[in-house]
Amino acid sequence: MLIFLPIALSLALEFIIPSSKLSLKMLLLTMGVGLFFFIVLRLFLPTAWIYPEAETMIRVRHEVAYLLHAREWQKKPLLILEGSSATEYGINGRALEQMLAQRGIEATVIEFSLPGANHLERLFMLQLFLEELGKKHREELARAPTILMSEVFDSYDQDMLYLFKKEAYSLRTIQWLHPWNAFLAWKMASVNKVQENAFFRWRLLEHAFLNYFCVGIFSSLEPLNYQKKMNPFSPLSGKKRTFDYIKTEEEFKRSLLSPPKKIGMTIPSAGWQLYYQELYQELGGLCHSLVFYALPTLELQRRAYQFAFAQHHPFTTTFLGPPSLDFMNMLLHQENWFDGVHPTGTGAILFTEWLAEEIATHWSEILATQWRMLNTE
Amino acid sequence: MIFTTLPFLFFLLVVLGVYWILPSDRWRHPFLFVANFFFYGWWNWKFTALLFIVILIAYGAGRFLEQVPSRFQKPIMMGACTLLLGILGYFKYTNFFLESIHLAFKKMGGTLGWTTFKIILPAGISFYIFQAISYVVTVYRQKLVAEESLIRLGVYLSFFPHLVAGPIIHAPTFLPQLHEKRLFDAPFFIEGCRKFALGFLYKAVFADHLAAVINPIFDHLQEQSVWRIFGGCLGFYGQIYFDFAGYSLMAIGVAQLLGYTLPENFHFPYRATSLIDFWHRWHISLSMWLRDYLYIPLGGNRCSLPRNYTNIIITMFLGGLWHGASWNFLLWGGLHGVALCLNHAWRTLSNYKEEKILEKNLFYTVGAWLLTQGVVFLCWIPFRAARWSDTFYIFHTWYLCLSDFMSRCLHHSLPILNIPPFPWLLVIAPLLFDTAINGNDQLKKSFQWNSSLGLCLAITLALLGGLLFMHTAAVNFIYFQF
Repeated sequence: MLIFLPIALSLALEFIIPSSKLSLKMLLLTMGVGLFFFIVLRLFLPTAWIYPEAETMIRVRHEVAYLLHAREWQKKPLLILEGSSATEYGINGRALEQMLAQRGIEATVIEFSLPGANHLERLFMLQLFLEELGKKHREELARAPTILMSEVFDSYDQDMLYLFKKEAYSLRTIQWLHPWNAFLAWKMASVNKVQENAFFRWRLLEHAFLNYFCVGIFSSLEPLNYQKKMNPFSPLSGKKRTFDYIKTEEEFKRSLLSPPKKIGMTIPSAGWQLYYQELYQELGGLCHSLVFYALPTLELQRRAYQFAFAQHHPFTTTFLGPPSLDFMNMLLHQENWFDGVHPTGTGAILFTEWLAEEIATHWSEILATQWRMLNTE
Repeated sequence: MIFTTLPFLFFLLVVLGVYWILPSDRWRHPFLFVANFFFYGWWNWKFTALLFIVILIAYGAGRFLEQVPSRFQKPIMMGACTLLLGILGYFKYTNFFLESIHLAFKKMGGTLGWTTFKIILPAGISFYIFQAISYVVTVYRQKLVAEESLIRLGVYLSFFPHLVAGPIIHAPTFLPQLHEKRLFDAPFFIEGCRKFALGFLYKAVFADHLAAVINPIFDHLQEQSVWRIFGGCLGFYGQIYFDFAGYSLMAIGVAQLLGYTLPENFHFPYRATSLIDFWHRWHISLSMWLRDYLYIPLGGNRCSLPRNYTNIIITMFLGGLWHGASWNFLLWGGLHGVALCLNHAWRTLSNYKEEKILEKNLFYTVGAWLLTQGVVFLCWIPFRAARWSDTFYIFHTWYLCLSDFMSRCLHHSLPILNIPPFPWLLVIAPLLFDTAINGNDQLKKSFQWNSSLGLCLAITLALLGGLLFMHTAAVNFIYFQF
């Protein structure tokens, strides 16, 4: 029914004709007042009203609902996982919670990951999470031992706007690039010097503008109560059409004979450091610890990056991974891999078990290492 | 630069500000000339050279035509037009003809050694080339004095509001305006804002939302049910109108903001009750161009009836080819040509005056409207379908569905109408309101509201509403490709 609003506006433009008193001053004044009211109104509109159908929004609401229904979550450690498709397809948050319980750790696990979600989109999910949680629960969150777990993945870590070019102008990209995130993206891209395209800055500005003005509810012509259901864990099956498992396995086995290659990139990158400073500003007061984790991968370059990251991660954080060779050997079966990074459903169980084991092993270290303003020295 | 994007908003604000601050046309015309090239170069700066060459050809031809004796004028006009059509042909039709020859050889079992070229089609080339031809021919016909100033001619040919998607402006309509002093006129400026706001709603809200619904249907045609295909075709019937009429309205509006008048390009074409009427309402500037520079030179209707019909079909065929280098567009033009001939034949047979009387009959009007719009609707299918096979697939699916429906009716069993979920309201409501209410002059006269403040509010709300409702994924104007 929302379509009738623009229709009514088009009718008004056709049916209203000016009387003799028409002046430019009147038009400019009306436009100025209209714009002012809109800008002010937009500032106070909750994001949930604006983008109710966004994948990020649905995921966040799902996880918030799960958290608030968990028994005495305020008294237990809370693990907040944030990641891209590697986490989305590789880690089952609910299963991880049970596996941790079997290892004697009573914790609640919530997961903010989406395929193709770069750091800034994950930041947006965390911002939404805090907004959805409300003031009262945010205070409870600060009191509980909350642990933020962040995925380590070379493509995303090196380019804070990874996949932005490909996903530009999609509703999802417009949602996470609100003016503040667009500003951060601008800063991060400038220090990383990844994007050299002259139109890149225009695009960021345009996305921020679209974010502010093309209020999602209207731009998708969907009613306010529209809600998609989303399963927080979406296991993959089969294998990617372009993925040659045999060849990848051979290459991987061959690489075990020689030490990981040196990689030609700065770790951590300047943009990455800026991002974690920003993340600290947003969540530092609420989260006790920051943990990085590197999930199993068959791609040699990524694994090399994980090893290098293990050497350079900030000392105020804990690092889990990379998976040992024994574990990787256990994973070397075709049915476990969708491609070199993403596991199938069976592989995901093993990935989750590995993460649970890593957390249990390093539990005391995780609790003891308090997240402070990032120092990369 | 697309009208519905942020760079254009900034560009427009700067151009408007500087343009009206400049003291006279002596400064404004060079400024507009530069702004036009900046606008065009934003897409691909390399093609500004092509635009400049077209301007030079038109300017040179015009100046020559005035200075040489009359016996040399026709060869000069023909030479300039051939050169301009050659440029258009190279960029737009080379690969089409090469591919067609390849295909023909392949069908005959042979192969050719050469392949197609990598040619990028410059945006709006069909529009500015046609305008350049219009200028040269008009000067040749001595209906217009050749323009002395290269800058002024350049402003006419490259005027950014209509540069990439029309309307096609005939030289006598626009060039004289460049000789008159432009004074800021607030009501005229505000009328420009109104047209821009209306066009913005048409394009950014109606057309782009329809595109989001119908593009996946045409992309995966084989997976769609018969109803979804019908919905997709109906959606395109609306999309192409809102897209192109919206762009034209925005172009006319922007021109008015700069103090220039561009002629109307669409006049509620889906109200037409005959094909002849439809072509007086749809893409009026192209219809007029084809009439003045193709149909009339071919002989028009001042010849025998068969020749007249041949002229109509040739004109519409070439009109179809103008839209794009594809057999689908040729088919679309050809179908319209044949339908127009039938329309003319009907008028001749039924005696047009009698038909006028009949038009007052409601049943006649409704029947004529259904028939006209049915033909227009069916003709849009080859226009939208990517391949011939898709066009045939759509018609074949409908044929099967219709025959099933008929056989069920004949066997006295109730046909099952299994209509899948589809945004019918989005497809039908904007078209219905625009055609039935906005296009009804009587209704407008009866219910019009005189209020300057009301109009200012409506413009503001439409612009803000357009922003709120606009489809976020940037969708190019359909007519950019032509």
